[in-house]
Amino acid sequence: MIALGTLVLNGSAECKSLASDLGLADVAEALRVSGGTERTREAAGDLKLAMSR
Amino acid sequence: MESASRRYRTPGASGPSIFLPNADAVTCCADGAVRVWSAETARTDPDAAKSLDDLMSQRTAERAQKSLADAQSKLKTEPPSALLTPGDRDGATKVIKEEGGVVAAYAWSAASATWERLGEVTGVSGDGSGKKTYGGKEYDYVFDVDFKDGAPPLKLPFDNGDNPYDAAETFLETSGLPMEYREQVVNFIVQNVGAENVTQVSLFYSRVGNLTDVVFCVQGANVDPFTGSGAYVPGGAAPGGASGGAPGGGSYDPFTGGGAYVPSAAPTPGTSSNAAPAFKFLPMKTPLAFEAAKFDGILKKLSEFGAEDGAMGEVAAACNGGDPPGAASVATLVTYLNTWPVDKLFPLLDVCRMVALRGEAAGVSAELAAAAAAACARSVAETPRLPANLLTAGRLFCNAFKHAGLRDAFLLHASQILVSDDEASRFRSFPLLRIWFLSSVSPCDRSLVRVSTIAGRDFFVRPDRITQCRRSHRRTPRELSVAGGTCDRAHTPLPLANAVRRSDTFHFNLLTAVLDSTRRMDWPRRHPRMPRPPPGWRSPPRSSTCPRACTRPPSRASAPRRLSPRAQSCYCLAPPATTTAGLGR
Repeated sequence: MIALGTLVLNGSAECKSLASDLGLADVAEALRVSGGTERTREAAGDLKLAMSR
Repeated sequence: MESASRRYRTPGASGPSIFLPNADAVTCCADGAVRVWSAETARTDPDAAKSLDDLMSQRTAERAQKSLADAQSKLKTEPPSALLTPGDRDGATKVIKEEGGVVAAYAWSAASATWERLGEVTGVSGDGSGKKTYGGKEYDYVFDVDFKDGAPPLKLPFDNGDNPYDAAETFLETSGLPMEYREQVVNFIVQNVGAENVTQVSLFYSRVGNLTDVVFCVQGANVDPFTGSGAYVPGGAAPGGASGGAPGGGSYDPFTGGGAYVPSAAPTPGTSSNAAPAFKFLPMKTPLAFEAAKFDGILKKLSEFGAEDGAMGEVAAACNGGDPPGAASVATLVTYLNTWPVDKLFPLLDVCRMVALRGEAAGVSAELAAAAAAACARSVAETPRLPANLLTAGRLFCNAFKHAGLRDAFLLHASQILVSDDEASRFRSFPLLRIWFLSSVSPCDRSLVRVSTIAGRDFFVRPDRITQCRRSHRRTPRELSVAGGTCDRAHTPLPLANAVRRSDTFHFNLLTAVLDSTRRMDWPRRHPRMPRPPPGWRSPPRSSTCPRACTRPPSRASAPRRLSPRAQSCYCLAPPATTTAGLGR
């Protein structure tokens, strides 16, 4: 998730579009709420934030 | 002990109050009037009461007008000539300052291609003039109060002229919060609403016996009527002046939630919500690698498949921090990689994955690199395509970027590992990985080119990320076969391998992550939406893919030297300048 967030942050517009089409925001939100570990939830929050930018 | 309190609404700031022996109170106000307050209706002067009511109504109207004027002055208005320009989208709005100073809102109607007048701007949401609804009632303000992380914000309604203490108490009661927060809530209200918009709490007193203890509260030095101590001092607010200062000097916006009240000294969690959200981990700048391995399980499986325990144990020990393996052991590993059937390759690939992390210390050589890359490609491309093969091959591909020689060797087989003509079986394993690999190796932004039709979906890659198939590719004819695309004729494509080399840290990181993600998810099935072709792009027929499927070197006659926008040619990735002969560094 961390590296996917990096991809979303630093990637091209088509990378972001692809990530959006794949539904990464929903996955990140689900993991942010009910991720297994705190680190998982925090990473999911990062990914969610990256997707929203 | 008898205690009581009286609150009087005055049209302006009031000075100290005086109590008369008959329990009446006298106040002096900033409007120049001295008023005598009495609990006995017999002494009430109807004219004075009506005059006071009129004055209060007038002040309320003045405040509303001033607030609207302030809000309108902050609006970005445009002259009427701006309506001559069509809107950029349906529903686009403009605020126009019409003749006579009237500020009106217009919306663009795409259907009629005209600007439609919505009406005069009589209030601006967020400036205090707009009413907000909460609990079925309209309020001048509805603040969001964050009391706990992750919990929805609590709503704190407030009307201009309300008593902040009453509002705070009601809020704390309805929210189930302790009354210790009252002063902070009052502070918050006064600071965000402005001292002039709250009730002039001109007098509180507690009667002990025969009025021996009287506490006066005046604007600017109010006293908590419940505790007798200083409740709040509006920060630097002159009488009648607006406060609005945020704690810490920042500007508070009570409407957007940016200035949500957070108790500073609260024992319960209370973090400020106006802090900009920040990333905790991103961006990740350290490459990820698959570094964990269970050597016992790997060696057991290798032994089960008939490998020499001694040789494999020596290689595994070297991977685990031991001495470098002997040449014979490395040669044995190379032999296995070259000769073992596909269904037995995955433990070997796992060993190679760990070898890649230690490099020469674990016996990496040009021969081993070439054998590992070929085995990796074989395990993915040939049947049976075991999930274990796909997983270990992907991990090995990622770890190979840790070593320059291995990286070059694997890039020679990139198309076999990531892209091939028979995509159906691999598509579910490496979709994101392949898409990333194809689309992220160059920062240039040009029109997309369809790479191939895979499982009924189109994939695109930018033309500057594809290199033309050249004669020198004969040795490696299967490199990233791309068919049916168009390319900018004037563009000189960059070798993919060179592009990867320049920023392999970033790419490696992504490769690893994407691979790790796709390992667990069936992305194409769950998320069937894929990138659309660019506007104007025409999909070539399915049969336009490379007729040879790049399974053999293109003939000298058929190999195109330049890409043609209309040509349906076979384009291949240029091999890296260095070959496996450069290994062993």
